[in-house]
Order: sequence, then C-alpha cells, then structure tokens
Amino acid sequence: MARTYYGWHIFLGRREYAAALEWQNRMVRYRQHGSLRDTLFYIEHPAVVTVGRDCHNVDLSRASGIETHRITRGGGSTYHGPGQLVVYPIFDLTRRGRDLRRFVHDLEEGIIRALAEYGLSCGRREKYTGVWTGDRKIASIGVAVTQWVSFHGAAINLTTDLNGFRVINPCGLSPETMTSLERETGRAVALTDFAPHLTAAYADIFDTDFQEIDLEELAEIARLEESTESL
Amino acid sequence: MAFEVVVPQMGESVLEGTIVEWKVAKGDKVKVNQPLVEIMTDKVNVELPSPVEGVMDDILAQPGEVVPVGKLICRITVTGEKPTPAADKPAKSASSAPAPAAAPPASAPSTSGAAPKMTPAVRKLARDFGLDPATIAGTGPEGRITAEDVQKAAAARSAVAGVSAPSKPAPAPAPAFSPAPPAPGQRAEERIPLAGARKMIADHMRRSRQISAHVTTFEDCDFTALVEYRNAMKEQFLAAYGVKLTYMPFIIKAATECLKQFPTVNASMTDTEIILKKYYNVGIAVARDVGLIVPVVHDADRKSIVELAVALDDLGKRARTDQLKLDEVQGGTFTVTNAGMFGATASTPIINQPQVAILGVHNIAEKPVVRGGQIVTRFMSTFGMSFDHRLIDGHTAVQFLHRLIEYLEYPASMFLSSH
Repeated sequence: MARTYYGWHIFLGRREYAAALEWQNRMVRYRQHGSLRDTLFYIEHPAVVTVGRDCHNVDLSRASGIETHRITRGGGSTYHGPGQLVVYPIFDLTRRGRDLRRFVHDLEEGIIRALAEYGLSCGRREKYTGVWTGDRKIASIGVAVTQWVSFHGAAINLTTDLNGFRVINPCGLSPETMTSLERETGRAVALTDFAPHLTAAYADIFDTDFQEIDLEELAEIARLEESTESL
Repeated sequence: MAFEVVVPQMGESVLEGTIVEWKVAKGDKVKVNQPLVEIMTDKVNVELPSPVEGVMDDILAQPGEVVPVGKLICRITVTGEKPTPAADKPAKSASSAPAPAAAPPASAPSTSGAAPKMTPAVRKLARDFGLDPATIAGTGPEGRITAEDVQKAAAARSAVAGVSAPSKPAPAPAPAFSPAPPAPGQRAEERIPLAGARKMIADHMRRSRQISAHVTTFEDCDFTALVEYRNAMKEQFLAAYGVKLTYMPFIIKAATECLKQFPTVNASMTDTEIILKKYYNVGIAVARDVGLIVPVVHDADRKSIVELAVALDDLGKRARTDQLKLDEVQGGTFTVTNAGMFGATASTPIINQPQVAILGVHNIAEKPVVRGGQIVTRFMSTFGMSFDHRLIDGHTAVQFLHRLIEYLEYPASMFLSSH
C-alpha cells in the first residue's frame, strides 16, 4: 500500500556544528518554499555543546575548551560527539496538523522502535522528553519550528563517549543519567547501520515513503532556489 | 481595524507556551510570514509567523510569561488602515488585562446578525462537538469565542443530555435567525447570518478576485479514446479495486505531467517573490450541501491511476461527511474543478489562492466535429483554465492546456513524456 507522503533521507557523515547549523537553516527555507520534501538529515558532529532556549543561566564553566553554541531549539543544554547519531527532521508540520507534542512523541517512537531492533527495550518518562531505558537516557530531543517547518531534532547515543556529558548537566539531568547503545548491549553499532532502522520506523510513523537522495540532488535544489530568489 | 494575533493551537495536548522573545518591537513594520515571537513549549520552540502585513501596534505578553492557547498576544495594524484607539493605552500586563477595556462584555448567545468571532481552530473545535458557534457565549476579547468556551458549552450540553463528548459530530442545530415579520405590503425575505463555511468561501472567493489577474482560456478536448477505454475497463476496475473508474485520475495524471513541464503554473507568488513548487499537490473541488471544499491529493505525480482513483474516492467520501483532516485540505499547488457533473458546458473558475491556475472540466457529450474533412460524432468536453496573468503569460497557459489535452486525447503519449 502506497504511503500518503513522499520524503527524502540523506546521511551527511561527520560535519562541524556551525557549518551544519547554517546549512540546516537554508534547508528550512527550502522546505518553506516547497522545493525540499520532508527530509531526514542524518549527521554526526565533532564534540560540541549546544544550549537550547530552556537554559537561562547555564553554567558552562566546565565546558571550557569545547565549542559551544547557543541555539533556538527547545530544551536545555546537551552534548554532541562522535558515535552519536543526530537526526534533523525538516518537516512541514502544517501537513501534519501542527501538533507539536505529537511530533515529539513520534520522534521518540521511531527511536524506540529502531533500538528494539537491537534487542534494547526503551520507553518514555513523563515530563522528561527523550528515550529512556530504565532510568537511563539514551536519546535526547530538542526541536525548533519556524513558519511551521521543524528543525533541530534528536540525538541517539550509539557508541558516544559518555564522558562528554560530564561537561554539562544534560537537559538539567545528572551526567550519569546518560547511556548509549554500546553501554547497554555491548554492541558497537555504526551510525550508517542504525540510520536505516530509524528511517524505516519513521516511514511507518509519519506515513511517508522516505527515499534516499544525494548531495548532488540537494545542490541542484539549492541552485534552483538561488536562481528563483534572485528573480 | 487591528489584526489580533492569538496563541495558535499547537496540538491537542499543548495548552500553553512561554514567551521567549519578541522578534519585532511596537511600531515595527511586519511582513506576512515574518517571525513575530518565539514561544517555547515542552522541548519545542516555535517562531510564530505574522499572518498579515502591517505595523506592530501593541504587544500584550512579555518574555517569560506563560500564555494559554487562544490568548491575545499582540495587535498588528494591517497596512493601509489606521491604528485602533486601543493601541494608545498599552495594557499594563497581559495577564491582568484579559480583555481590552474597549471590548464589550462577554456576549450572551449571539442573536445579532454578526458572525461570532473565533479562530479557525476554535471554529473547527465547535464543529467537532457539533455546536453552532452562534449559540456559544464568547468570553475572549471583543466577545471572541475561545477553545475553553467551546469546551464549556459542550460540557454543559453533555450534562443536560447525559452523554460524553460525541466522537462523531452531531448534526448542528439550524442556524438561529429571526426574520422580522414583513411589513404590510412588503415582500417576504429571509435573512441568514453569513457564517461558517459559507462565510469562509465568500471571503476566499472575493480575496482571490482581488489578488489575482484572472484570465480564462478555453479549449475543447476529445475524450473519445478515454471513453472507450473506460467503458472497456470500468467493471473490471470496480471489481478489482472497489472504486469506480472516473476520468478524474487521468486528468490529474496529465495535469501533473504538464505542471512539471510548465513550472510557473505550479507556483505561487508574493509581491517580491515567485515561488516555484517542486511538488505536485492537486486539489479537487467537491460539492457539499454546506458549500464547496477542496481536498488535496498530495504528491499526485507519484501516484498511479489506480492510487489516484482510490485516493479520490476516499477524499470525496470523507469530504461529504466532514471527516477530512486539516492537512488534507491544505498545501495544494493546482486545482481541478469539475462543473461537468452538474451539466455545465463551460465556466470560468476562480483561482484557489495562493495558487496561480485552476482547470475547469465540463460535461462530456457526443458532439459533431470535423475530422479529415468529414463531420463525425466524438465525445467532447470544453476545458476552461483560469490563470493568474501576473505570473503566467497567455502563450504559456495555452501551451499548457494544449499539452494537457494532447495527453488526454492520446493517453499513450503521456508514457512517452520524458518528464
């Protein structure tokens, strides 16, 4: 049975946060214009701390030496680094009823189903957005929406060095709360192995046929966009 | 009059948000879709776009303030209009001033002719509960009906009826109106408040005429090949897929092929920008008793004839029973309207904003035409396509329509298209 929507997904590899952020902003604009479909961008960042809108006076003194960005997503501070799969869903939420909580719930659901593929049983905890296994948190979520297009998204710890979280209080929680798929199961799963499971789960949850695109196709969209913008 | 911006519905379980930061200050000019304010909900940060162009008149909620869905947070004087008197006296704090001083007291169930004010989300909520907005008392600013008012009204009705909120909309009571008895010698008239779907359609149609430079071009389409194909296939099709095979899937298929070849027809525009859409969502006008609605087949170009037939059948049925979801009536990039089902021979459809073209298809009937010097009978239909001459020039529209008709007259040519 055909799905209601068609979308794209792409694995971008390891990218500097600042460049990825600028790039993400452009993709949001393209989605607002309609030249980009609902797209799952998978990415890995070098060690970086990001501070969301829910952190008013965060103490970053421990984070000295680590690149830090204050950004407009929801949620508090978090750490990104090698071994962590970051997914940026750039979706037009108008097509999905502009339901923010359901969107977050759906993002969590995909991660829960993908982790189940590795035999790890996960769930949610009330008031603590993210994906949890027991009382340990394996994935964090923080989303921003502009003109009803979503950006930022979720970060899933696969083989992340959990010491990275010691420089902050992730989302206001103790650093010891964080865990990874490797720590829970002993398996070192590559980002490129995990991402397809997540895409498959999101295809069901978002009723969307996500097809892979490459950088060249994105470049073509960008070229069209720039030429339209200069009209 | 100033446009009032309220905290929008952001999902069923999202009841409030926190103001993070205003992106514009009082007195600033704002454009449509320009971010006005950042609002934080649990883990999601939302930038609210401005629904209108104008000047920020008054900001009624401060950063850090928790604002419930439906709350008035700012006023924008729409360009070309004078600021409202209320703008001269800024509210001390939004929480202490739920309603501006100028607002009339919360109105009793409206008996006047004016349509009760509410956001579309609240209007939908009322419809979901099967409530007539005219019977709900609004407690918001200027008598505006809030989501809470609707829920209270629904609860009150449930308490009376001893039932919980209906999952299926109950039939709405007849709109309340009080025709004045005709004076002696005067002819009887009936006055019905302009409200609900009729009001929305009225506004939408008039707005489209104001925005777009409408031109309609006509062309005849020979349906004979498709009539023969359909007659040969229709029983088999119904048995296999459970839906009737109509001409609409073929028309949509041909239209999406043409939209790919003529990008400006699948577009929208602002005063400063032309936006070419790279997706093909085709709206289909559906007649209902309460008025027209246009469900949208998303990504129509990626669907087969069978998938289109199934999708159309489903959308049509649910359109007639008011069961469409919000995203199923939004995001269209081109519209097809079939006035032929009522027997119309030709019409000049009004463009469905913010699109730039609409195809009207009409009655398919046997007519005499000349083929190779002979008068023969063929199944003919007249197509009338209205386009926005601001963006689309006549030759483009005519070429588009000719290509579309070529595909329908020789369906095999569609498969040979390189697009």
